[in-house]
Amino acid sequence: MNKINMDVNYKTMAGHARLVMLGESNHNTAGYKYEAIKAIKQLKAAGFTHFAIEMLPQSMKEQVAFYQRTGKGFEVIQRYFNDNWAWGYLVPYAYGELVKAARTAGLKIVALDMTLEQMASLDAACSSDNAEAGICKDTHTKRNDSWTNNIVSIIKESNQHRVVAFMHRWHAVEAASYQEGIDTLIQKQGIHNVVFVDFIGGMLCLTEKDCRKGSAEDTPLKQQYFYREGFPYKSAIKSFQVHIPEKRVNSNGELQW
Amino acid sequence: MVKISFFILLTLNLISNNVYANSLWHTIDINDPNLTVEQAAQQCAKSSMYAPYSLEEWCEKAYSMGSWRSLLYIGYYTGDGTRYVNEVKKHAQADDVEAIKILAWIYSNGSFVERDLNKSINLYTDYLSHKKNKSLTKHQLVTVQKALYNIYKELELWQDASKSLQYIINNENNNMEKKFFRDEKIYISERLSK
Repeated sequence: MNKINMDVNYKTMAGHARLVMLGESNHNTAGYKYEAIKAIKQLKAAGFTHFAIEMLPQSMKEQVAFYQRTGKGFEVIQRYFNDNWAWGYLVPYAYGELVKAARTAGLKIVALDMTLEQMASLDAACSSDNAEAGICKDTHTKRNDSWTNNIVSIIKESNQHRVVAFMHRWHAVEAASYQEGIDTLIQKQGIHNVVFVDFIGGMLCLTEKDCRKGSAEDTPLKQQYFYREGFPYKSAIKSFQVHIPEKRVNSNGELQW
Repeated sequence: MVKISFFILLTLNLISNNVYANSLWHTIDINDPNLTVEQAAQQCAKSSMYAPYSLEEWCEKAYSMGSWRSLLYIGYYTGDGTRYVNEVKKHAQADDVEAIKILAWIYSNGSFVERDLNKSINLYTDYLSHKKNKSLTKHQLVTVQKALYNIYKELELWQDASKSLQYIINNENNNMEKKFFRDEKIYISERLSK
């Protein structure tokens, strides 16, 4: 295990990367979204230009562009999170705050994913056994392909473009033998300056009162905010883990630490 | 009193469905007698993203129904992949060709075991030459050759890397991937000429 560093600095972690993937170790911890807000503010200051997000489908591109341009129409975006990304207490609200923060920071918001209908149809077309045997690509892998193409097209559009992408960790890197991660897919398209930051720890709350501790660190570190280099599983790129303290998010969306 | 309790239960049920169910994560009754192993395995894999609090329950269920691969997610969740690795080894020894391939993958990336690239090469080679694998599709063969290529490259075994690479270039259908591996060929040729 690499040494921990209490000075969590995203600019340092990003270095000269063209793409920084911020990965949630689960979608249920509201604190990860607030950590992403901290990250994108620092990364914007470091020269990043785009914010790509798994939690919005490409089919909402126009609504997102309208919100970006005018500051109006956010309720459509928030409704989408409420309807489809309510994985815990304050989670959809926190996703909304993240999108707002990206706009305020001046990052161009990119809706990354397929629609839920497309995913359902792909789910039906390829079983996990067939995917594992290499007979077909499962939904997860096809989503990774699609996101990679989307991100690559932004990066190749201008040498000034730098992307922060927010997603689940198992999209950023390979989860199973048959699910190639964006870390390797993107290198095949000639993009090599890529960094992965994995969010761990925090508190997972299903309701205001039903919370579970989310840190696997030794006791002295559970309440600490720190980062360290490396990722415990396979990663083909420079990787970091940012640990957020095992504390809950307040009902107004603010963190307690 | 009964009516009030029923109303509370109904409301709680509606709230919980609203929070936990949609197209990304389906709320399925784990005790449904019609539950298939495929459904249980999918719930196990998806719970690592959308419902980690029920991951162990779903993955154990999937395992009990025959999906030994589901133990991978318990390994990720607990940080201890011993059961998963032991299960993969058991199936590999019993001549399950997919398990041989998975074991090769485990040794190539060092998840839950000490990384051992030579062991991985041997296992991938066993997989390719296995009598049960006479009917492997081109896509399946290319996938394994890509895994082997990466290992050969890392070990600087340029001759072997070149052979795998040629197979990939000849058989890859995806043009973007083909281009990537053609470019790699230049790199490998330079190494071979030194």
